[in-house]
Amino acid sequence: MRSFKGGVHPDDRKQRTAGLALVEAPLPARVILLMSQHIGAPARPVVAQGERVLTGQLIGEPQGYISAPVHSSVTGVVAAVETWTSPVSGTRVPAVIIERDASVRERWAEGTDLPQPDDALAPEQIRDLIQAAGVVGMGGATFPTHVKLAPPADQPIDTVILNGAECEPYLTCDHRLMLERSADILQGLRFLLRALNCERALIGIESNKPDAFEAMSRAVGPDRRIRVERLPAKYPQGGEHQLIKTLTGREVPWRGGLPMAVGVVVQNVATAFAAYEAVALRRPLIRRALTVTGEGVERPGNYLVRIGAPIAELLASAGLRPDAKKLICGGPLMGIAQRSADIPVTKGTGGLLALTEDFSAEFGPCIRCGRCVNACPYGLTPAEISRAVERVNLDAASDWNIQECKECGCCAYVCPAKRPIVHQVKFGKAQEKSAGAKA
Amino acid sequence: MSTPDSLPPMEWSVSASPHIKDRENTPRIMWSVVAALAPAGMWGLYVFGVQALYVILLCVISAAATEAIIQRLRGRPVTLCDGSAVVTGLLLAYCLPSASPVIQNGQVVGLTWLKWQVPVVGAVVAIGIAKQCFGGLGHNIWNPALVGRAFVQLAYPSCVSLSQWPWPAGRVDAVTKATALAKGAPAAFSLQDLFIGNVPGCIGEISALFLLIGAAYLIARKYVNWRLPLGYLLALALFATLFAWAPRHPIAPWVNDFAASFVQFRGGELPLGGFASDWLRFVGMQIFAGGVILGAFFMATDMVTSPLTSRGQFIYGVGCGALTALIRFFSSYPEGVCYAILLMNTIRPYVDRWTRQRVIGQTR
Repeated sequence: MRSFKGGVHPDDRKQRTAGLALVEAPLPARVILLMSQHIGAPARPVVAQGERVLTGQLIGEPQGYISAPVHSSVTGVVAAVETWTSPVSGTRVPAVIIERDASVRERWAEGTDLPQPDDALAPEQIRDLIQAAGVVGMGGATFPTHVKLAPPADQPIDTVILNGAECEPYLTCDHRLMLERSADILQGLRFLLRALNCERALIGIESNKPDAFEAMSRAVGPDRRIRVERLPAKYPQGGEHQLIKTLTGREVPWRGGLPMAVGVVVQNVATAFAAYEAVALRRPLIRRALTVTGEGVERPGNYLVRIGAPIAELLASAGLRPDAKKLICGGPLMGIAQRSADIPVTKGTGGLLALTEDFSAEFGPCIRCGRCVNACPYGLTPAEISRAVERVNLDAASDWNIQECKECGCCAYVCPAKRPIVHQVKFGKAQEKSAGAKA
Repeated sequence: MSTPDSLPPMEWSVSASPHIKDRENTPRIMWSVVAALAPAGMWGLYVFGVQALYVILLCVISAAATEAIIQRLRGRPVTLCDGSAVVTGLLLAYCLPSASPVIQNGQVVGLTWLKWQVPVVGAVVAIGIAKQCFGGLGHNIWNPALVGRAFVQLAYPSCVSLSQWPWPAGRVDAVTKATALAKGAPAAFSLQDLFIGNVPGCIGEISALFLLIGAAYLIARKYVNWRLPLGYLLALALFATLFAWAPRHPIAPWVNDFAASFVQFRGGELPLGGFASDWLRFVGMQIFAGGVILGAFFMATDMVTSPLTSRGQFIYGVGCGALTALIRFFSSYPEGVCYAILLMNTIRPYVDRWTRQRVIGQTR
């Protein structure tokens, strides 16, 4: 299969956890549910301190269309409605803290956890169930899924792509999900197809996961609408633009174009699984698959964890080593380094890495070797963007299309001068934003 | 996952992604270039002896010292270990003569050591002015070694622009000889001697063979993009043919001759006669005599002063080749590599601009 231009081949370091089945993590004593776990407006808390809540009960209601509800992931009592540090923004955001009541059996809220025969649902009903369940893009982007399922009338969707590439090194939870929950993922995909009135789906899986390819192909069965495709193992194969390019040859228009513009909707396999739980089981999104790994933990593994579970507990039970230096939420190429482990699992947390290797902050001058230009999967010129930001020349940075950068990190990965190009891009974009705000 | 015990307080290191990095680094690239230059240097030492060693050492030591002193003065960390100053010193030495002819009554009677000022001033200008004045590694516009070389050519013409060049040791017929590219009365050499390096010339440029061995290593390591030297050599061959060879030859016969050799070649033989072999010899001479191989594979490909994209590298190589031919045939200089590359260095930013990659999804 033809691939996209650029990209890198880091050592995938998945072997430690690829063979470990998903384990249901013990229920946490306390969950911290951030009201902002998605792109768009934060949810608004609808519970008060001291209130008893059931599993799956709505505790934060969406504000506006591009927003998502938040549900309690345990049965217990609201301990506080306050703010907590978000592992994504690093800032404090509104949060509901719930103490689990260990003395009672877990109970699902009324109207949730009801397995339903699915045949009769209309597209709008599926969309509404997914919206009400708080399903967001679980590959890390956390864009509310119901928005993607309601394309404007002039942009019909002819292809749904299910992203099973899992191109980030270390992470294996999507791989395990595809192996162990293939039928459920397929069921979720069929709901998505019906919601979009779409008759074609492609499931992209990197060639380094042949067993997942087999399992998913088997689960597809005789359904002619769905094809499973082997993708070249190359980072960032799971990037939306790269996935669409590889599977359909289409290019998402630049300057903020969406996959919809080329008739495509991309969903992660974990999102399809959440859609299955939302529609077939009427279960809101209260748990997700997560890989805890890295050289800094003794016992890595793949877990099904409750949203809001404290990350410190996951690390402690995985056996955090004293030589761990860096804590990452997400993968090693796009994940976010954390200042503290006192943060919760969110809907977008697909990996928890404790790394023992840290890079010195020192970097050298750009020698214009061009490796970043060859590695950039978006066709940018990172060397020039990096140089422009370094001399705080915003005009030059936007002339070199800094806004088109999706911060995949390929350039900084290959840079022989170890330049923090992604850091510079983030800084440059922020500068541009504040300059734009002033103007 | 059974005991959710507490975690000791940790000092986590925080930085922007990515959190893993490739092993490649700047010093490794620079020292690889040094290694790739070694075979040609060895040949230079073998051919020109200890006088060449003296020039190489002076260049490298002066380049390194200049780099260290200026970085001190600028209050910057001294970065000799990155190897870039050594590369510049070596490249400068490779395009200098190994010795100076001693002339009595208009006759060359022997060779003497090259004036020490030539390598030293060349290296000081290369590193001090062409590199550090612009901000050091990565910020220079022109290839430092070539600026140094151009400077000493103007400052010490009698030592650098020779009409009689040191002649490989062991040759008994003379101590010096004009090069194959000399204006007026060029010396004749076989292509084989030109390729191996049995010819007079600068210390590191004479042996195409040993330069190409090093270049092959750099290309295999992807430190050199083969498109640049390819463009250089193709353009040089094309423009040299247009400028110098074609005008000397009436068109009809050599077209026929080429057609005939092509037919013969198809028949399994390769007896290139007449115009075809004359042309091949002409192009071979243009490529293997003088500094083209050193220039095309080691000077023009300097990462800092060459374009970023593959397309840019090719176009840039073509520009270097065309300018080299232009200078060789329409100026008073016998050789055009140095100025051709310096001129292309100057327009490098434009080449980068013209050959920008297409952004994915770009619509206009």
